Amino acid sequence: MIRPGTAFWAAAVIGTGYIMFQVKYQVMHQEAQLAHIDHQIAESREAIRVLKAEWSFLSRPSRLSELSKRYLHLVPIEPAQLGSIDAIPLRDPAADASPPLPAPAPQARSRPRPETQSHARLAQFEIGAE
Amino acid sequence: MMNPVPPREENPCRPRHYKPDPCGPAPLEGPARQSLDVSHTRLLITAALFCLAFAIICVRLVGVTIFGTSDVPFAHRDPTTRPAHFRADIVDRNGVLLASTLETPSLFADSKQILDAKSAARQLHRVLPDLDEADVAAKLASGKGFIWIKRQLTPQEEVAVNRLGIPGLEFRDEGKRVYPKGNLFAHVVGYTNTDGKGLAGIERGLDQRLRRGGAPIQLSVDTRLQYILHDETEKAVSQFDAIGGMGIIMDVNTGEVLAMVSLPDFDPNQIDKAKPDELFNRITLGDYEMGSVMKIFTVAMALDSHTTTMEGGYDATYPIHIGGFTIHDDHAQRRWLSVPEIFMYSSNIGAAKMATAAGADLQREYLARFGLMKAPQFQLRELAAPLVPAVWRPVNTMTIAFGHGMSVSPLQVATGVSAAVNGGVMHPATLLKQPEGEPVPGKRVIAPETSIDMRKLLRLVVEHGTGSLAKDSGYLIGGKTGTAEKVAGRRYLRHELLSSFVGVFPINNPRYVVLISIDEPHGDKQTHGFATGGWVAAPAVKDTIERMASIVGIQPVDENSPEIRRSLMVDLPLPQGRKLAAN
Repeated sequence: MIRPGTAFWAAAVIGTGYIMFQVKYQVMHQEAQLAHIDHQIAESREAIRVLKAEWSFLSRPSRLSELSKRYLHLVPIEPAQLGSIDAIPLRDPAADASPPLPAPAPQARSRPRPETQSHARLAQFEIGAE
Repeated sequence: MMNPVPPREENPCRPRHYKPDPCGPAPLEGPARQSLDVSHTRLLITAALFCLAFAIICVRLVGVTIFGTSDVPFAHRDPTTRPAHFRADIVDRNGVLLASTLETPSLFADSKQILDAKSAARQLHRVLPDLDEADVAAKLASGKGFIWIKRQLTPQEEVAVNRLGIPGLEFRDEGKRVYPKGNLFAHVVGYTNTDGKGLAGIERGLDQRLRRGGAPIQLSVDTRLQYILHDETEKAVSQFDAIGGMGIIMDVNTGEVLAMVSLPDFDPNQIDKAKPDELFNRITLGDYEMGSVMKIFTVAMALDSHTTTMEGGYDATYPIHIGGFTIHDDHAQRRWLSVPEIFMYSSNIGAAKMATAAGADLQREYLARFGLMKAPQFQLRELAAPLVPAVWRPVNTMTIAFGHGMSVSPLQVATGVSAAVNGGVMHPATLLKQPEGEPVPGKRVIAPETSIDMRKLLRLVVEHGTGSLAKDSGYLIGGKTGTAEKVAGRRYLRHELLSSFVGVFPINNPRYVVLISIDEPHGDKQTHGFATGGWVAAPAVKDTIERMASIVGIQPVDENSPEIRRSLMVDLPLPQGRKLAAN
């Protein structure tokens, strides 16, 4: 006959053994996961480096200048176009005293709708790009 | 939980000789009692020790599992660090990537595993057409366990080779240096060989630091300014059909090189295609007689040493004949010239007399102060030491006064001019970004008043003198032209020129020096056949400054506003007694 004490200790040993192996397998699993994630991090890191290099390559000033000439009809700002707020003359008090100009008649109907306008402009750009 | 012990009499295991005491346990007496006590005590102590040990383990167990502890030293792993064999990146002052190392597959063969070398070579040649088929076949049949077939393949090539499925061909990742900006920074960044050893530029100059890996090296250059300077220098070179050109932009207050261009240049990604002339860095390794640009240092010396004053002058009526040379003026006025006029008309005779009056010793001392007598300290290894005469004869003093008979690199000139205009403090040139707000190392070389006079004189050259093509830009540019005949052997060649312009802006409070030199330009219709610094380089500098000003945040000004005219006015004691305002 197994005494209750022995039974208890045997159960305890089996229980702890089971838990210990459980923990061990969990750790092994997590380590595998960690290695996998490490690998992914390293890969992503390398991908970021490649993308950074590519970005730097694609943003070469010579290329940007070429693209700007093709798609944007912009020219460098002339020094004469730059100024400061101080350079703008103050409002003339005499002008305030004179009667206000008649308000312009509403012309909403004749004005093209904004969408149409932007489409027209887009089309213009595309033609310009050809 | 112990079983109750049965009375001794009934105990079946009791020793035979044991006789229970008829009237209860008799107290032990004497030595027996004593030894029992001792054993008892020992047992108690041992039990206490065990209890203590278990208690400690329990506490620790609870502590670690439930509360968690940070004092347990786990093996520290940081997947964020890269393997040590990766070179550090190089970035510009705004963090734009200039050089990086990417993992690239390289193809090698274990030729023992190759079954059919000829057919394998033929298939490889089909996907990698730049390989020599016979050469590859020989390699594959060599019987070696490791032999490179091709280093650093593109991803497409890797896929194509993998698709062949030839056993015995394998890949190994190698670090490949890439230069995304191509030609733009060729002479600044330099290049490495396939094994990652720096052979030129910063790659060579800071090779040790780059090899250690880690944080990127931040240079002082600015990609935007570099492009502008490159573009303008290239335009001038092609417009005047020159053999080469060079340009440098320097921050006068820190000595930082913001842009540095030497043309022709090369693509560091395809270094095997570069020609020797393209690999030559004219800015730092080229020694040139810079011509009249050097008058900046002559006049600074004369004014700073009080040899003469802004009101003084020298007679430039007749050419000087000395030791078989004749010194004459290109823009001859044939009269007495004041110091500002000598500078403005770039009078060689005047400059020669000015230097002679100061003397050779003073001339050498000031040239040394401006860093023109010995090779500069710089991050690049491609550095030229200036060529100065071994014996300093009077004729040398005269010719060096206007920039002949002594060769220096454009880098040195830009550094010296920075010191002449920034208030008189010499900052060593550097390619590394200086931390903002920290004092920059520097040494006073001329008085602040002399520096202010130099600014006025440089503005005068642009306003009324040889540099007038740099005028009317909307920005206050000062500068000096220089046109030197190139030396071939012992003779000067009249039609092979080095035409330069060194611009300073804004001249009323200098921040940048822009130097452009064009090597052997040829005048065209637009310049009426002239190929001098004022015609060739001054417009290029003006265009560079116009384009860079908005980037560096300098507002255009009205060149003719009264305050500016007054601040830069020079009294010219002309024979007629009129005053000329340089604004």
